[in-house]
Amino acid sequence: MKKLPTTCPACSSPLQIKNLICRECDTGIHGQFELPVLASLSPDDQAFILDFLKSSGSLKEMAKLLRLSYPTVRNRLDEIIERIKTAETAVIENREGK
Amino acid sequence: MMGEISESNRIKQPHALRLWFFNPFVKLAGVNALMIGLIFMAGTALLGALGNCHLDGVLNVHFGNPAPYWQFVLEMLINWLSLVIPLAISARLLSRSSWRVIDLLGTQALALWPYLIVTVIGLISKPAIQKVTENIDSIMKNTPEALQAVKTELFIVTAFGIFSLLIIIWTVMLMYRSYAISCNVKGPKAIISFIVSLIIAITGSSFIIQKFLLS
Repeated sequence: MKKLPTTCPACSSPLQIKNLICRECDTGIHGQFELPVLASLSPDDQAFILDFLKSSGSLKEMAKLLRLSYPTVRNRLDEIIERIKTAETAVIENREGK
Repeated sequence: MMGEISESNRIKQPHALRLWFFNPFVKLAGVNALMIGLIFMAGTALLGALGNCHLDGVLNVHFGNPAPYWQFVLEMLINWLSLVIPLAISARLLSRSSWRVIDLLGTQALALWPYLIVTVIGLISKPAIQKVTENIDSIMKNTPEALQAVKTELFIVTAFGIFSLLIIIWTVMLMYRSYAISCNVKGPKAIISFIVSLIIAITGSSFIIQKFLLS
């Protein structure tokens, strides 16, 4: 599977979806759709979030599974939260045409 | 579903041996770090008592008079807490993360483990240091005969001094990493707040130990 690009290679602005196609009947939908904020994160960050959810949101459980200390895992989560906030701000700014 | 992690996160696990020497807090913090740190501190105090090697300040290593074991234990505890308290205050002011005091206490206790090596070397160097101390007056006269008589011992004492300095640098590095990881403080504000806290700890611990333990 190809990696989903989320930012423009020319100007680094967040990308939007223009076309959607049904694989079954080949129906195409044309429009402007925003990518979910989570899609703008790196595959590693997305994997971390998935594991975090699977661990019922328990940092202690995540630390055990990853064999890392609790603060290391918590710091990683804090970094991802910061990246999500930045991505959200970028989406809002893009929507407002800034 | 619990007990499984994605391949991506599994690969990212740091496992190098150097991690255990230079940044063990990536893997170890909280109560586990505290327990191991306290065991190391008790061992350091014991070896210090056997070799009369006093850790009479956060970054001080000195040979002194024999003293009871509890005094060496207190020296370790004062050194540990005199840094934890200003670091906790700094983290409270600067960190935007929801850090836990137990992580700071545990990792700071563990950061003191290199002092165990200092006390081991101190114990080995004890006879040489005693001989140099006994002959300090003749050494101060700087006569060739006096220096020749304690040549080997002077070499051992000098080597111990250099070795202790390297260990202290290593310990400071561990202390900083403990603070940065436990409290999630980064960049210049982490470095500056750590230096300020360390200066407060050095001054405070030396004052308390000199005033209440060694006087």
